[in-house]
Amino acid sequence: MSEPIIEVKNLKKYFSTPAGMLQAVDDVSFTINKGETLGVVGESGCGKSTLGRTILRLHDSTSGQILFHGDDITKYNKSQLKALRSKMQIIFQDPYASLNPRATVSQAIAEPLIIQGVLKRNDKAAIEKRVEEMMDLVGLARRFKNSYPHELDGGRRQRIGIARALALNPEFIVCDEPVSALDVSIQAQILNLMQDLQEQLGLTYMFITHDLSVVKHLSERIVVMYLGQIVEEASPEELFENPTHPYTKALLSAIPVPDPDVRMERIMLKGEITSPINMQPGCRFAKRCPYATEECLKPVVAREIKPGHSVSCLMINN
Amino acid sequence: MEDILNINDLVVRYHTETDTVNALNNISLTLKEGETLGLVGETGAGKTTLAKSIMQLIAFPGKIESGSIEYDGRNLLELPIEEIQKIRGNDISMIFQDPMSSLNPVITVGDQIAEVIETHDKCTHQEALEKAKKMLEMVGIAPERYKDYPHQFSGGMKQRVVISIALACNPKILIADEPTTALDVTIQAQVLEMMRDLRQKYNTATILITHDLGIVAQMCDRVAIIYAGEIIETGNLQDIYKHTAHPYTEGLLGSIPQINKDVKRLTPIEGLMPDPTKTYEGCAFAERCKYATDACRSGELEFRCVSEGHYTKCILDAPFKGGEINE
Repeated sequence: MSEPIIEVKNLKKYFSTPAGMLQAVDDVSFTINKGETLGVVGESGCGKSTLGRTILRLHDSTSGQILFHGDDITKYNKSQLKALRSKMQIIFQDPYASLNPRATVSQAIAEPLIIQGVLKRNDKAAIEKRVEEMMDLVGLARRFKNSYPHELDGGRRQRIGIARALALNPEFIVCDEPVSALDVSIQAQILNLMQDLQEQLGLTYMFITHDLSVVKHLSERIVVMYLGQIVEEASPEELFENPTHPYTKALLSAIPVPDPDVRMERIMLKGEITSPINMQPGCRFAKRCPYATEECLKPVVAREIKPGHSVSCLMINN
Repeated sequence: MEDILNINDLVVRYHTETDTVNALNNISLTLKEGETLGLVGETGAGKTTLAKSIMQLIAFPGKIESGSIEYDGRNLLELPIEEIQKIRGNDISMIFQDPMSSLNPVITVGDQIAEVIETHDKCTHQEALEKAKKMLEMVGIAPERYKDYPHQFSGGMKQRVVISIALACNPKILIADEPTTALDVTIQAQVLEMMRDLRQKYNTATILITHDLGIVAQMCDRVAIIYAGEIIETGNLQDIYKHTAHPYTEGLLGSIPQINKDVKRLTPIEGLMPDPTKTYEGCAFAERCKYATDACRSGELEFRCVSEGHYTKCILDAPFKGGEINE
């Protein structure tokens, strides 16, 4: 069961900007097992989307390794990459922006099949059959086959995005905030759909979100990111019961609980996320951390405090 | 506590070339002095239209068809525009959702705050600027930054500037339309904390518009749930969260993953909101409601009192388990 499908080792992705090196993803390592969901949580600008895209090689990494079934895909050439794409797919955040407004639902779903050469462009009957299968799978009524994205609401559009990502029978899907743009009642429909599909098709997800309650619901393991680095990694139960990194604690306490009888003790963070350009060594959270000391200017390494629960904070002494 | 704002049977429609959109259908709502009322609903439910109606900001092709909005003993809908302008910003002010687009990019934030003060108080520009600096300090921004332009601030800081503009004339009513939706959670927590402090200090009655039931539970005294242009349930926090009396509210609560509870599977509301250009008989939610009976699909629905201060538009005597689904 716990056979790793993705192993990321010391992955870095830097962007060069006029102001200096922007360290979007800096020395990140983790493993995702087959059939599991890894939740990646963080606020805007923490590098979570860049991480997802780098793993799919939509960005080229600066250094480090990405192993897919044990094979380092950072060294893949163009034709190897094209073949890889049918095994790894992505669902984007904004179903309003990620669909071609001039392609009908059926064209959008059929496109990856044609590009990958699974089906011939002129084999109309086979395409129609596969498109209908996919639409049934994601719960999109067949009558929308010839509709354009602007005719559909956000939930239905996101279903197209999912159908398109699944059309090639991938093994691994990066879900980049797939429900953030949707209303709560629609959000729940899509989350349930994604859970069902995972069970049915044995998919592995990397679920990127800023919403801790969503990942708690879906994931087997969670990593919390801050300014390009993983600050804490644990199972959802462990993370929510025993959050250890000061940033994780603050993040958890910042979520408004929809229950009038629960009053969370808030840990207020001072200031806002700093710029990830030309970062100094030491803890990146130190500037906002209520417990920071001089010590925190030294480089930090992740330490395992319990099996499966690791934290990057110098102040956690056993 | 006395009522400070009284909305009665408000009907707002948008007349487009081809259709008439029924944005608000007979909305009635009261706001008491010093209280925070949460107005909860999904996209297209009419939350923002309601806020704009109170501020008289409904623009063509929208039109307030009927009803009344009483503030301070006067019906705002009958006042001439000059009077409305005196009330706007001074007595009733509004925070818009997107801080990025609600500030003027070519005017310094100090001048933008001062503008409101100059419009309503008789004072010189210099005096207004001094007060603007005090406002900035109050929302936690260094007053020296009054000369900066909006692009020099982060999202959370911009929203603080917007809030300081809204509060500059010490309004009696503040309408906050999704004030933290565009912000990150830790920044959202900062802004909400600040709003809570300011509310205690100035006792401003607030209508907090949001789709986030978590924010409502932590910020509000009373809640009104809006669906398809109608208020379908209203009551205090305990009423709404623990003794839910409308299937739509139950559906909303079942749709959110909660961090303090373990739920294996969410129970979403199937289907979509009705097309606002069409008219229907009976309950607007009947189409999506798993408890709906034939009786739900006919006639005009009236508010039914469940307990003191707790009203629902559902005619069914709680066939659902009410608050228990949440326990």
